[in-house]
Amino acid sequence: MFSRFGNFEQARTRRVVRGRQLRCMAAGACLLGSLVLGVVAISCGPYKPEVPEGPKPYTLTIPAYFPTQIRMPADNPLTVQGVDLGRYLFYDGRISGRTEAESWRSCASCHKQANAFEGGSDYNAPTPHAMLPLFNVAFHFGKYHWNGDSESLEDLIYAALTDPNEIGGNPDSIVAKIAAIDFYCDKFAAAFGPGASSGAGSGNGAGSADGSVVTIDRICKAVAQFVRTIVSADSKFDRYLRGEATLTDEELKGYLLFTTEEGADCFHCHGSSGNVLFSTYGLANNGLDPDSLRNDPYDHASVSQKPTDKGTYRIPSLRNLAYTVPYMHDGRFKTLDEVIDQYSEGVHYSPNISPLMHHVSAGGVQLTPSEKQALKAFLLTLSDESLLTNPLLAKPNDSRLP
Amino acid sequence: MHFSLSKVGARVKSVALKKSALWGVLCLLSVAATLSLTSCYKREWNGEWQIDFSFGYGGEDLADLDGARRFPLPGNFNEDGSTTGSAQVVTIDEVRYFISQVYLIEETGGHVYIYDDSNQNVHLVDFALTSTRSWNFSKVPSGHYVGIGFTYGLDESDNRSHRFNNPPESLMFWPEALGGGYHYMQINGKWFASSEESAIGLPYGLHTGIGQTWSEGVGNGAATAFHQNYVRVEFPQAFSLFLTMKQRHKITLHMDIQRWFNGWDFTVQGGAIMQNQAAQQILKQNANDVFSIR
Repeated sequence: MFSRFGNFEQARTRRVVRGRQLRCMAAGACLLGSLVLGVVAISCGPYKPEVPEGPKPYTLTIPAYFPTQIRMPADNPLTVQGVDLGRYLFYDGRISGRTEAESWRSCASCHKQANAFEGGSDYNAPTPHAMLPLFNVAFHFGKYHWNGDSESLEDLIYAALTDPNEIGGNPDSIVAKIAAIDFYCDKFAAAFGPGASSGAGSGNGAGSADGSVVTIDRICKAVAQFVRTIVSADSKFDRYLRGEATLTDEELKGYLLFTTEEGADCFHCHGSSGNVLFSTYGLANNGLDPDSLRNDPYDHASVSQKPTDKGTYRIPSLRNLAYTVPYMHDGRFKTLDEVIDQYSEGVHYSPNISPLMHHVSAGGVQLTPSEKQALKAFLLTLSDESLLTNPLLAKPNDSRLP
Repeated sequence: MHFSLSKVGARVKSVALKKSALWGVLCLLSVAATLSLTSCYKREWNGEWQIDFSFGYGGEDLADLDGARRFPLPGNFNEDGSTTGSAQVVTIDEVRYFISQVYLIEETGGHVYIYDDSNQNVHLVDFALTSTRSWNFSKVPSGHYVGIGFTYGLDESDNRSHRFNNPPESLMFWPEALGGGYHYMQINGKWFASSEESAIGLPYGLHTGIGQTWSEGVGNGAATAFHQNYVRVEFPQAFSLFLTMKQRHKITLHMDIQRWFNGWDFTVQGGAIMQNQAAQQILKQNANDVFSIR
């Protein structure tokens, strides 16, 4: 019995132990399988590649009510190094490619920060049309220039660099001039890498010989990056939207007129608190002249080749009007009062007038003097003084810049 | 010895049972964890739905809007289908409108609200923007559907000012003083007092949204009341479709622009109507006849 029972107990103990071992193995296998499945399952989550060393993404600081979509080509994202390079180039007259310092011209020669990156009232632009200011371009999804002949900021900058009426440079001369400046080679390499063809350009200018570091394409891209960082979002009206300021009764009356069809009827083309760019950036015939006097060979009809686009121009932003005199595509008006008078009683009929010019049959919106004053008061709340002095947008304080 | 062996065996058995129970719990936990981790593979019985948006005028489909072609207003036809010389006509430059709160109607009459991949049930249709002429829903519950309903415009819950930061939606902003939110619709063009070629075209905008009552007549004084002018539109017996898993169905929502002008007279309403609730009311009524399902 002993041995039988003993054997039985031992056998039973062995079976229990074996069973436990089997269960342990099964449980272990189950756990292992579960872990494998878990790992596999986890792998269906987002893949995060390692980010290589290189230019750091630049984040635009914008208010919550601003557009979140930024017009930025896939091959020219904003980077800290690219924006920095663009800022130097924007202010450097050597970007004209010319040898004589007296003939140097930069973007900032005309697009002055003190005038919201426009020329100002004392500047006569040699271009066919008056200047347009450079701010909030990053959010501008329409066409560029008064006549809407450009859809790419980079292309527009190339045109400005080479147009005899603007900087008037030669692309090869521009590249050679910039590439000969040592610190630029470092900045181009930091912003865009060492160059596609030879990998040269380690910062001593060596890469400039074959244009691999400094190219006209990279110059345009860098300037475009800087221009995209010129954001105007701190006017009195912005502060009102943020609850940081109050508008006077007159300014509020002006805003009411601005945003009502039976008032000044401005908002369909020029925005409001719902379109804080204060332009749709669309193209419109605003009845500025009678058709018989329209003789601009550079209006939108010259781009679209449609006679019905005669007298049609891009709708400009009304932000910073106080700093962007003169007004209209030809700069004919020197004061805001003249502009308001035009829309009040100076609108001319045209078969091609914008469908949004609802009051054309009356010659305009017919504002009273006090209404005009209120409208002007509101328009001046769109002035962003901080834009004129923002140190991040100013000429770099660097003795290497002329 | 026997006794002690039995005790040992019992102890071993007890320990083994406890450990096996522990392993069992661990095993169950592991399986539960695995199931939760693999839940991204969970099957959902969804199909896909697509709504295309088309436009026409007086029964004729419109492929484009050139802003030049003149269309007669309804109610001004002769019996033979021609128009009278005094009929008002319009050109159409732009058409855009919001559609929201789309639901499918089940055979039993139940409503199944559907949401796009951005979890939105609001969509702006713009004739000129091809990308807006189609609206896709990739997770529509399988089922037998016989109809569709939607809101033309935006109701109180959807019509919140500043909900859209970006164009084209942000450009539909409806001023705060007029009730806020967004335009339900914008049709822009020129109207002509007659169909004669020499007639002068004046700008008009059929802009609908929240209406107002004014203290001193239309558009004057202060707004003393606001009026919701959105319209619930329903096609309860429009089709009979069995949407099964991974199937895709497509319907077309057609707008006959001419029907917006039923009972319309530009010499009365004028070209700007955002502050004219009587005009808004005409368009609100017409909204019920403007749409059709194809």
